[in-house]
Amino acid sequence: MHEASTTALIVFACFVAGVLGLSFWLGRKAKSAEGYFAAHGTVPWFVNGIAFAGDYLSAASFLGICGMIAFFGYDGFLYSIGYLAGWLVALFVIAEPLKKLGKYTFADALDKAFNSRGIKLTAAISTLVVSIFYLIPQMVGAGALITPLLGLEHHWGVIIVGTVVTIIVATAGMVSTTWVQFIKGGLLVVFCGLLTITILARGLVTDPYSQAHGSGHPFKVLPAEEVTTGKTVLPAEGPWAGKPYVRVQAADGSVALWRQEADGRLAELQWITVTTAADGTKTTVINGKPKTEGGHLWPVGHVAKLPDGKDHTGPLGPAEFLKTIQDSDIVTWTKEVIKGANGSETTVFQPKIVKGADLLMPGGSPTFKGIAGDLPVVDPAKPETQASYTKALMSRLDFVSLMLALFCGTASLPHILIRYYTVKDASAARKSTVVGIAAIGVFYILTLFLGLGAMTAGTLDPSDSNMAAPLLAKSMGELPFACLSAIAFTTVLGTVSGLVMAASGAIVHDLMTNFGKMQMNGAAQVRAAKLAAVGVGILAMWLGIQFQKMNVTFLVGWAFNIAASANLPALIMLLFWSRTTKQGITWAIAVGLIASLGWVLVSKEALQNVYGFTAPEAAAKALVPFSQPALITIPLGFLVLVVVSLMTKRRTA
Amino acid sequence: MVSPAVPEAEAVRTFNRRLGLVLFAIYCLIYAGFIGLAVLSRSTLAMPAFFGVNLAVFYGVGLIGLAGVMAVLYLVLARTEPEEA
Repeated sequence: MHEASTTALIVFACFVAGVLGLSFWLGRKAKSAEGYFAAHGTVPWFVNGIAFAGDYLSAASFLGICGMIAFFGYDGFLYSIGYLAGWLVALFVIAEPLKKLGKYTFADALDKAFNSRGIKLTAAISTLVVSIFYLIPQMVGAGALITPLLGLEHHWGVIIVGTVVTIIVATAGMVSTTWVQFIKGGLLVVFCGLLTITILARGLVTDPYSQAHGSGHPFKVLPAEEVTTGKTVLPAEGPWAGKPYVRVQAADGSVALWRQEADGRLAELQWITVTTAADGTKTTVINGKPKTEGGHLWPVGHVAKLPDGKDHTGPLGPAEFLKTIQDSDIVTWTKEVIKGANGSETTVFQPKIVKGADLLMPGGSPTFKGIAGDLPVVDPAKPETQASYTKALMSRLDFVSLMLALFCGTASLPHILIRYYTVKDASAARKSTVVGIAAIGVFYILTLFLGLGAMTAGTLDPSDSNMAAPLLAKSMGELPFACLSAIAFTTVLGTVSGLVMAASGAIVHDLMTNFGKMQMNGAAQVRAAKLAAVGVGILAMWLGIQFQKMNVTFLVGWAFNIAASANLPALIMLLFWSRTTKQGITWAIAVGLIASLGWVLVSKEALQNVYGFTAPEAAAKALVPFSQPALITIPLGFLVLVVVSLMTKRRTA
Repeated sequence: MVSPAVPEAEAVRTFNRRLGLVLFAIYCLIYAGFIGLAVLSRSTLAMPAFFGVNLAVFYGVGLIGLAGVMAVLYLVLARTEPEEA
């Protein structure tokens, strides 16, 4: 359903050209190591604050959260809450001391009082692991964005982003990275604000299809005989056996899919079948028609019933908009994957009417469904109630653990921490964090309106939640779509360039210069960092192509868990416990990193999404009781640091 | 010139650190309250709170808004070290 748009292409090309031009222009000023790694520490605090927003608001934040809210309601907003809350840890606890302690990298701050090779090595490895885990979803997101925007294959999207970012970082390091992030952060917040105003101004309607683009498809619910007369009903065999679906073949061979309703009628559905031949060739049939012959999904998502039986509301205020959604019935779309024996895989998309009040409560998505409903009561006479109770309890612990990881992870992300070195002093660090919190906070509140607006605008692609926000913009015109898509692309650029900077700094400054004792002057360090940036860029492109099918939000959650578990205990204890030793820091980072990484790799989520087990198999084989490790591994990091510090010599610095 | 500034700078750092920790503790409690309600008392989150919108939305938006207010409060109350002035 996405076609390359000429306007989008032109706007996109202008954005990329502008960003690259800026990089080359600024690149003239960054010849020294301090200029390359820390922009000479002269970035104005306001610019740095908006650049924080540009650095932090990744593709997962922008596309992922809006998409999750558009498909499942409140659950996407939980990420907004957790991500923003984490910034207070940065402001109140980390920002000012970190600025005073460090020079170029996160390892600098940890190591300042100790000059320990162990700290340099573990902190650098932690930076690399977290940056690479965070890079993968950004690159996957880039590919997902480019495909509908420019009509290119996924891997071309990854290669374009990787190449542009590598050029940005390799030309001027932190100087150009900062300005790209500043431009992107500002544009993102302003443009999303304008979109939200448009959403509120046009209010809610029960038939957005005709209003928005005139191409709506009336999904019919008809008596069975009306659907099947003169056609062939295909037998419900193989994977279709026992399913409520009816496949009806017309005389021309095309097949339509319907769902058997309780009253005997049939409801029209949407579906995609991908068949893989023995030679690996894939054929895609959408709604019974080959994709190559124009088969496509119809846009979906609308209000089924507004309060008081109205068909439209007119302009709404923010609270009115939320209240109206809460009191309405909304048509959302769910999907089911059916695997055939011949290498085919069919995804069935079906409508479901959900109460707005339920959509504005946590627990509606597959990720958080475990917290919906009350904890079961255990009846000693019924062993199965104990199992239900344990399962519900573990789901809740998983949720608490994720919210803890989001809260603690922000202040532990290396690419965020290095931004504190680009301002002149602790006061500027404080001010820029407050500006960052304001910009990021406004954006995250807007995600609620953007997501709910996309849910009800009749523009959703049921197969791709990441496109919810761009397609919402498309319903407002070609230019808003082009601008939003280009901003989304710069969103990826801004975050990826920050990550590549953090990783190249860890390689050259921490590993080669400080740990490896390689003698390099400032110019040589810059040259090495540029080469490292090219290497990290190529690795990021490769990983983005390899992990194409991975869930983006899932990977971001991993990065937050690992960052919080490996880095936060060391940072906090260094600042607040005078008996912290270099061995304590080294071991806390190593144990936090290994424990959190190990935990996620043997969790149910990883078994299902990485190793390809089915959900029941993954649940049976998982070695840990829930998937998000932070609840266990953050306290473990603190414990290791305290025990090892008590066992080793007290620092004297 | 350096010696009088050092104890003053240390006092400023201590003040800012304590202020940050107090504000952090307050926000932690409110954030933990939200998570607690989500896992233990969903019915409370479903109650109408503001303009008839449920507590889940009000609390969530409130947490984001409160973060901004507390950040500004910290900016206003925090002291600047002498050498930075």
